[in-house]
Amino acid sequence: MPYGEMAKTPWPRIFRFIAIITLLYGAAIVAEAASSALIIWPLRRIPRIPGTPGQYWFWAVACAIEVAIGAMLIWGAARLLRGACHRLIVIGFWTLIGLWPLGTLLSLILQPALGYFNLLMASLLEGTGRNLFPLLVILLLRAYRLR
Amino acid sequence: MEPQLVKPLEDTDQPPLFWPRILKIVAALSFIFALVTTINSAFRVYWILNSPGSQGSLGYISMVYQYQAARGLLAIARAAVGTFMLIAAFRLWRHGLWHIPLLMAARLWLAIWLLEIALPLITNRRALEFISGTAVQGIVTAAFPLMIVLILREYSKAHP
Repeated sequence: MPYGEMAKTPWPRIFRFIAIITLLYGAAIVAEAASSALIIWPLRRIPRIPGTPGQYWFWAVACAIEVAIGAMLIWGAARLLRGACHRLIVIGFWTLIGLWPLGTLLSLILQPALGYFNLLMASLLEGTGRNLFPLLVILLLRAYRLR
Repeated sequence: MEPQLVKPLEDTDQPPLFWPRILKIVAALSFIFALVTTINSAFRVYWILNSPGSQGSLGYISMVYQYQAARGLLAIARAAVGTFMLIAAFRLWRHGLWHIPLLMAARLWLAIWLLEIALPLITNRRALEFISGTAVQGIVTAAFPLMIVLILREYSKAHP
């Protein structure tokens, strides 16, 4: 719906906030994944970071997926700023939230040396902090659709 | 009797259900955020208190202790803000009250976050590279309280 048609509701400004912060969030995810990729890429292995080939490939694939999701979020946020549909943002955030338990499971399988309890606690605490913004956006956009 | 101009009910563009629904979402997620913040900060304080002492020159040890003390203080402050946010979010969720305290708590969280990012600059002036890395990671976590601040500020403007 164009912004003009909902001028008397709080949604245009909330949509703008969502778009701007999602833009920052997507850029941060891309930057984070890119900086990790520079360290863990198989061609640039740093001896200080021990890992099996399986772990290196897991980290590399995770970085590539993160970059793709980040790019999707940036693109979706730019579209939302122009008043277009917010579907890309919702897809990007759902993917991010969906990958959280999957990533935890793979970490438990590939990095058992770190300890199951430590990995689970770290994933739960850090993952919750990171995924609350995506969840907030999804719920707000759902509330907008159900209005 | 003169005819009165009456606006039909369906013409009102400001459905009253908007804000309560938005506030419920904000309160519920803020409660979870506050819980995670408090637990994380408590862990950090515990870790700082139990970290092994440093070795090296007296100046270096003093600098490390100052840095750890500053981090410990910020972690305690964050735990306090988290607890306050927990109460504010609960009250907002249950009774629809306390959006201003929740707004204040989110602002305080952001202020502490900025101080934590800037802290390495105080102890080490060549820490810009470290700060940029921390800031990038921090944006992902800070996006939520920032959004809470913006939404609650908008609500405060609409309901002065």
